[in-house]
Formats: sequence, C-alpha cells, structure tokens
Amino acid sequence: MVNMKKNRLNSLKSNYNLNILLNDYYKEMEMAGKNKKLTAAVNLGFPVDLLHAYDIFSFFPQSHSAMYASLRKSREEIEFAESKGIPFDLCSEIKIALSSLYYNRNYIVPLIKPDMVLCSNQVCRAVIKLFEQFSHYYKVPFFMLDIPFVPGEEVSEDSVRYIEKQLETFPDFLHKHFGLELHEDKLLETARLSQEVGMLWYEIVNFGATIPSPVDALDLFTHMFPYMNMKRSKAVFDHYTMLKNEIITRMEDDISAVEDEEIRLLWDYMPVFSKNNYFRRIFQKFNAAVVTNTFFLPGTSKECREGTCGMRSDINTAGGLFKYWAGQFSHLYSGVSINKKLTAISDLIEKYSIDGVIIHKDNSCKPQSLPQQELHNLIRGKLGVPCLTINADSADMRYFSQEQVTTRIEAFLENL
Amino acid sequence: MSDYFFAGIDLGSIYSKVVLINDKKEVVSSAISPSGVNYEKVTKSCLEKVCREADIDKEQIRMSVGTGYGRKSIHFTDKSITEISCHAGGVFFLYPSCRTIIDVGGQDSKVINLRADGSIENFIMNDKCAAGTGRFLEVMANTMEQKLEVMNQLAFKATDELTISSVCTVFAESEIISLISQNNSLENISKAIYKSIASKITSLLSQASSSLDMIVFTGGVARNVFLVAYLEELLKTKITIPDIPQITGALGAALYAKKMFYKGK
Repeated sequence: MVNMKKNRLNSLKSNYNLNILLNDYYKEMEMAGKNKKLTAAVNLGFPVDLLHAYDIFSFFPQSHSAMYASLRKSREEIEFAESKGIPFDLCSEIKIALSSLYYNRNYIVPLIKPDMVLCSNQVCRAVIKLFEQFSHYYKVPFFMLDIPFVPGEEVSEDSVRYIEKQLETFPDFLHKHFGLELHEDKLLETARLSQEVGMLWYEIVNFGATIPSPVDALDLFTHMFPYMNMKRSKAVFDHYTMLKNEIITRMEDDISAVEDEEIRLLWDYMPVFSKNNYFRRIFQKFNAAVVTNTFFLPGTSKECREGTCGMRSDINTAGGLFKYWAGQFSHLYSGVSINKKLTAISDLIEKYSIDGVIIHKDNSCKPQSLPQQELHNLIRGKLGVPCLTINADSADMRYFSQEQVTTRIEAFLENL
Repeated sequence: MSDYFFAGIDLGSIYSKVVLINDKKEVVSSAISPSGVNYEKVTKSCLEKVCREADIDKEQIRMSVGTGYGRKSIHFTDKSITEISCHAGGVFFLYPSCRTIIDVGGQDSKVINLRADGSIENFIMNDKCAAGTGRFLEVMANTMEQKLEVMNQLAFKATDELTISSVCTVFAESEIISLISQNNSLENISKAIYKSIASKITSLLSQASSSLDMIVFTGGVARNVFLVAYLEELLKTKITIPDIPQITGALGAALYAKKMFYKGK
C-alpha cells in the first residue's frame, strides 16, 4: 500500500492519455506531410491559433527536441549533429532539431518538411539562424516576427503597435506564397477554443497552490505540450478536462503529490526532462514537492497571472486579436526584464506558499541563464526566500553531474 | 568513562575520515585513510581503528552518520547527511564565531556562509570541474614530480609571477609541462599553481557574498601553507585552520549522530 502511494505520480491516468495524444499528433504530422496539407515550423512567441485558423499544421522543432530528451534519446541526436560539424557549445535543442530536420534523422519520430518557417525572436535569437537554415535548406518562405525586448516594467504602446503591424502582414504573406484567404469567423472560433483550453490549463496549474499539492509541477510540465503545440481540438480539450478531473478526485481523496508534504518548492526554467524521476525521488525523500514553475503561465502580465488572459471583450475582431497577441508576446516570461521576472516569482511565492526556489541554469540557454544569478541574489536578498541554482541542461545529459546535483539539492533541503 | 559514543564518517573522493566523539562532544579519536575503491572496507577499517584507539567496542557507538561524496555507499550508518551540513556543524562547534567556511576537498571546493546561530545562510560549490580542488593540486604536483609539502616551500621562494590560464585540469597540466620546458623555475610554477586555486576560491567567496571577518578553511587543501598565506594576503584577513582540517566534516557528522540519538530518545 505504501509503495502504491509512493508511485502514484507515475500512475496518473492523464499521463497515459498524454502519450496517446502525442502519438496521434505525430501521426497527424506524418499524414499532413503525405496529404500535402500545409505545414509550418514555428517557435514560441508566434500565434499558432492564427495558423490553425488557416488549417495549417504547426510544429515546434524545439518541443520535438524536448520530447527526445524526455525519451532519453537526445544524446544520439546531439552527437550526430556534432559529428556533422555543428558547434559543440550550441544549444542542445537546436542540435536535436538540426539533426532531425536538417539531416533528416528519423531516429524515433520524424519531423516533416515544413512549407514555411515562422520565427519569433522573443525567447531566443539563435533560433533565427536555425529557422533560416531550414528555410534555406527546404527553399520555403521565412516569416520573422520581431518582438522588441522590454526593459523595465511597462510595455510601450509603440512596441505593441510594432508587433501588431507585423502580424497584420502575415495574411498577406500567406496569400502571396500560398494563395490563402483569412476567414475571420474561423479565426475567432479558433481563438475562442484556445481561450477555453487556456482557462483549463490555468485551473490545472492553480491546483498546485493547494496545501498539500495534489500534483507535481515537474510532472505537469510535460502536459504543457498540447497547450503549446497542438491545435485546440476536442481531443486536447478532453485531455485537459480529464487531467483537471483527475486532480480534483485526488483532492477529494486527500491524495497529495508527495506524502507528508513539508517543503514547497518553485522551479524556475524548464525541467531536466530525462531526470524527472530522479528529481521526484530526491524531493520525496525530504517530503518536498515542486508545486509550480515559472514557465507555466505564458505571460507575466497581470491579467495572465490572474487567469483573465484572453477574457477581454475587445478581441472579437481579427484586428483586436492581433493587438491582443502583440501585447501578450511582449510579456512572455522568458523575454521580460529581471524586475518583471522577480515580480512574477514573488507572486508565485505568495500564491503557492513557497519555502524555497530552485533555479535550473541551463547550459544550453545562455540568454536565459545570464540573468539567473541576479535573480538568485534578488530572491534571497530582496524576497528573503532560500534559493538554489543547479547547473544542468534541459536536453544534453553530458552536462548533468548527478552526484554534484544530489549534494547541492540535499544540502539545500536539509537546511530549509 | 562515558558509555555513549557517536561516529561521523566522511567518505571523500580521495580520503575517508572517521571521528569518534563521546557524550560530552569531545573528540575521542579520529582516523584518515585513502578511500580507494572499496568504500565499505576502508570505512569499516577506519571505524575499527578509532574504536581501538579509544579502547571501546564498536557496539558502544550509539549512532553514526555518513557524509561526503560516498555517503550513500556506507550502508552501516544510521543516516546520511551532506558534507555541507556536516562541515557547517563541525566548524561551528569548533569556532562559534565563524561566519564563512572555505572547504576544499578532493573533487569539491565550496564556500558556506553561516548565520550567528550556526545555520547555513548560503553555500556555493565549484562548477562541474576539478579546477581549484585537491585533485587539481595532486595532478599538478605529480606533473612537477614534487611532494605537496615541497611545493609549498618552493612557492614561498618564487621570484616571478606566472599565470596558469586554463581552467581545465587536463589543459592546465599541459600548460605546466610547457612552462617547465620554457625553463621557468619550479618555485615560480608552484606559486602559479597556488594562485590558480586561490583565484577559484576568491571567486566562490565573491559569488556567495561571504563575510571576510572570520573565515575557517577546512579540507585537505587547507594544509597547504603557501595557499593559506597567499589567500590571507589576497583577502587581507586572517584565515583560521583547524588542527586537523580534513576531519571537520566527520566531526559534524558525529555531532549530528549525537543530536539524532537524543532527539530519538
């Protein structure tokens, strides 16, 4: 009985459903390639709803890399890319994406040739070069969405207008290259479905605020995949409804993610995908639960943090939607200033009753890692909350020294 | 004589250390032995040695705590606690006014900031790299074909400032070889090696925003007198070295064992 309790995270029924959903997604991708359905390689910071309104199949090469890491198959891809002369110290996600899409490695699940590449520079600048390489290799059009970095607290209207103007040219881009027309009613319907899924996701991550937390945030992270990547179909909606109901049942049955929860942790940045079980075990030993993550909410804007994101009345026209997206993309956690990140973290600490923060400094992601030392100091100094930074890599396990990480985490938890 | 004894076992990457304390928290005996590859055997033989020295039976040890890199490989202890907590406990017991611990062992170098009550305020460890650790020093001494004690004495006689620029132990070794082939004196090269470790340590202190008021330096590397003198000069402060700097982690573990025993009683 005790053992069952300890393993119950692995027995989340929704995890099984997520696998089915992912399988279907890759099948759909394969079919899209065969049926000559239009496909687009995109990255975070581009409105996928807009693509879905055109019936374009979208995929994120970087999420594909994360999936490889979860399956512990990333090393082969990374080493393959390196054997082709790709620089050793380039981001591991880019190396995996290059290996899959540029060198056509079909190691587990293949990516398909995109008909267009749509790149936003909000999160990462290196990805522009990756997408440019795809565009060059496949001879497909490249649409670039330039999202200015916002220093300080406030996003200027000019900045939002600049993004909005670029988005307004996207229908022309599709018309010019593919002869497509935008159907506003379809766009609004897609956006409405997307909001519903967004609300469900918001409710799900909020369950982590319950003491004790019924759900492990590292486990929940993998469930972001459909929300980030997939068309808001009935299957996606049903998946999140299932996950939500499962968590509610856990709460009704007094089942918590970690038995006798004593310590509540916030995890900053992405997990170390292939090491989720290792982290869960080590946290469990100290009755510690990771209850939330800074990447769960797409935006740092007030409305996003309060869950009213997308509930505004002025988004019932295509123009209103473009403006809304432009505003949202200016506030994505990965792209905002240190002060805005700290405000978001401070809110999470209060809302989720956090005892300690764990920062994952990703060897691959230099731009995201750079401000993390300052964030670490501010979390300790200004917010007065214990903080630990661990050096690892979200996908490249050659940068993960388990013994060293174990000692750091254990020492941190021993002294909380 | 007290009937209650407590053992702390620190299984480090190069040396294993065992400390036996009595009910009055007095160190009764201690042992240091190379860790080798058979951890269970080496820790058991260290334990037998401290028992022999203290003239007690192993059964008189009421509780024991394992720490250090190999803490999970010792199966006969009652609990394992990280070396960070144990060093903090051991050093604070010896020096209650200590606010900063520098600990440089075989493969880890760390800085621990203590609060006035001895609890850990912050700690920083070296990155995934052996630069600035005991292993680094060992490799360099081997390359120079010198004993560490000699290398310290040589460094005091240095006349020129050389710099080892590589942060990688393997590359630093080849740098030493090229410095030797350029006819640089062993004195100057020895100093350069210690300077390289000192810069790693000061960088950790700066990262941890440590207080420089009362620093205690532990771990085997603290026995390098030149390094300590050089650090004191660099930081413009006095650094305290325990009598046997290698055993503070094991001492902390023994103190934890005692605390656990009375908590459970």
